[in-house]
Amino acid sequence: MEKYYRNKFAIFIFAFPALLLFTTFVVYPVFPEIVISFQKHDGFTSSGFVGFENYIKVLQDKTFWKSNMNTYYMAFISTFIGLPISLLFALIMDRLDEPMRRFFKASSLLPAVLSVTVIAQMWVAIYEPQWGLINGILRKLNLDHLAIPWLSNEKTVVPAITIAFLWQYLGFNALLFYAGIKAIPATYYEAALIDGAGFIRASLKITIPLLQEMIKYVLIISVLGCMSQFAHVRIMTAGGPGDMSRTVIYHLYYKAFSASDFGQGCAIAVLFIIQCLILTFIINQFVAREKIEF
Amino acid sequence: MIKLSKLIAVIMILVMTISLVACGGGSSNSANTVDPDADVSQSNGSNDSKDEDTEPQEKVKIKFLSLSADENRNNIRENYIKVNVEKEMPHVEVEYDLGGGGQDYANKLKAYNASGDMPDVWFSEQNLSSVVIATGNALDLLPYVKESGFDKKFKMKEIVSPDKDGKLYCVQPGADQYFTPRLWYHKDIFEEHNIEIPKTFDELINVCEILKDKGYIPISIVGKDGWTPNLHLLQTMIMIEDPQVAIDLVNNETDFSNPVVKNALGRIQKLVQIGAFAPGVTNIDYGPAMEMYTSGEAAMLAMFTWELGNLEKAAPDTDFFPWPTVDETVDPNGAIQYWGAPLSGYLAWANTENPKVAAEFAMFCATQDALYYNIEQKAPTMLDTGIEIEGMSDLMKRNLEQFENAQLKIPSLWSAVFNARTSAEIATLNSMLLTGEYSPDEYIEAINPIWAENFD
Repeated sequence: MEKYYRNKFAIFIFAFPALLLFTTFVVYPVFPEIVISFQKHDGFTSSGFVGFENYIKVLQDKTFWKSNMNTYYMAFISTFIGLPISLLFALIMDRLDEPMRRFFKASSLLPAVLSVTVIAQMWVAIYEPQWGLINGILRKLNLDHLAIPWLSNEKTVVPAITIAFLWQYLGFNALLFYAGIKAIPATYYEAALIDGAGFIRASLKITIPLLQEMIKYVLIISVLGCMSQFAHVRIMTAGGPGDMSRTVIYHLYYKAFSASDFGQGCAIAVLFIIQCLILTFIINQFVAREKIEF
Repeated sequence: MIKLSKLIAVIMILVMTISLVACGGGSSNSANTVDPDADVSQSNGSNDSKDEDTEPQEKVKIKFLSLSADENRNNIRENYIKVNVEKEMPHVEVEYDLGGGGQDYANKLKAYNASGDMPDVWFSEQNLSSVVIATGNALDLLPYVKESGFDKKFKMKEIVSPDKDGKLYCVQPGADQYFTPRLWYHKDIFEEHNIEIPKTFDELINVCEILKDKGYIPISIVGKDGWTPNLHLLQTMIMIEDPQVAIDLVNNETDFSNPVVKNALGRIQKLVQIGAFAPGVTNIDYGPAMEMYTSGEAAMLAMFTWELGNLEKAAPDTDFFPWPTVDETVDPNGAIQYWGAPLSGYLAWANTENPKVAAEFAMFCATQDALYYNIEQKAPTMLDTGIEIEGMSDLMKRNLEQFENAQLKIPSLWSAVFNARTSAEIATLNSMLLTGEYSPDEYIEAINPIWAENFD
């Protein structure tokens, strides 16, 4: 195997098709985007280069910062509340009997395979102010004062969308964690059992430390998934009321397609790419730096 | 074992080759393809080709983008355009592209415009039409309108007059010029609770509070993307104090800092704060807003008269009253706003493969649109369809009477929105206004630079 790895030419030949596709469809489109971000562009015609004007306007735009706040709020909740819950589900799933485990696996996967439109519409119905499930329950409990329009209230709209998004991927992340748990050799647990370790102790001392690489993977896809959050916002509130629930990507879409300002839209995209690269770098630097071998 | 593998491999190769050949050979004799340079008359079957008698007539494909979020547009498309195109334009095969409504539709059309690959024919309002025309994507319909004599069918010639550049980009049924926003109400609900018709804005507030106490949604509006304030409520709130300010705003002779405009914004905020609109109004789309009123859940509806026919059918106890003015010194019947704008209607793509067919189809759609209003809504149109409107309802008669009697007819503020940015930002700000927590001062600070840029 070592001999093959030393043959750089062979590696290049085998990697070339994938590299070509990646460069053509992922790397290359970034460059025209950077060029447009320095132009006054309506999406159809360019009125010439304007230097850093688009970037200055974007950075002075309150909505851009608000969209960033909303995006980071979603990423924060997803990371610090969503992922621990998914991990807990995975740990519980590992201890269940086979029929129950199968049921849990199927129900975990269902929201993730359903269309975002279906999920978002379902949550719109749940949050509906007059006949929605949440307000219906609150009214039954004589808590009418708490029955508010969840998706039209400045304070609740972003958490409401975050819950819908979180709910959809909670089970999927749990399945990823579960796959990671299954890869840990049973001998570690057998040894722990002999030493008298219970579920909690075994989880804390064996499962979680050995699951680091999977945690890192789920963390990256989860954070970047939250960062590029668009569909739930589009369907549930269209970024509203006003601009209150816009995420960075939704704001980008608004600038480029609603306001026909592709220059600013591309400037937002470039800033977004930089943010994502920084976040990925941070996660790579601080989570699971060393490769774990069983 | 190895022989078996080889046999399977050979069979697989044969199967794949056959399926590739079978799947890849269907494009050469498609009945729907057409030579881009082909004359329309050929597709009408007027050439002398020997093949004409033996081969089926080639159809010209037209992609048509239409609004699909309101009942009128759906009825026009489904019951008039779709039905009659087969009879009147048999050489045309229409691919219907349903674009939703409001901002969704606007975004779809703008995305098409940005890509440069437009539908052949589409319906759009003034602000969207301006965007498409500015990028050179709209076809000049003037030669086709003149050639077909379509222009001679209009009572108001301005509708089919060329633009400043000598071109005509849009054909319309001329129904818009009669449309005005009204405050519709359920007579039965008002009578049941002994509610008097409000004459002033303060009385309207009072009525809303009574209705809310009785368990009704006082006024149903379309709050998604700030639709109702965008299209008429803001202007109405200006006009109930001083109609001249609305004219000045449309003509860019004043801006949103005008005290009358500020008061108007404050009135909308007040309506929200007292609960005059449904909870979660910023998320209520056109259909649910209509349903809210026709089901009797809402006692009043702020909507254009294009829904009059539908309202009469769905809620027979419907009536309307003039918008209550700020005080009794302002005549509620003195001024009226109308919807029609020169670029609201059917447009065709400049690069369409068959400009003549596209232009004919656009004119056909405008005619079907007018027929729908004449026949179904018993409403007049500037385009003469030859239909004598009979059996006009009492409500429609009173509506037209009040429309005609108004001394001041003011075009919609929305018709003065000339670019995508302005319409998008107004929609955002009006949506914020409907939260009740966005102050008129914040609104004015945000809108004034955008409004000034709109007229640059």
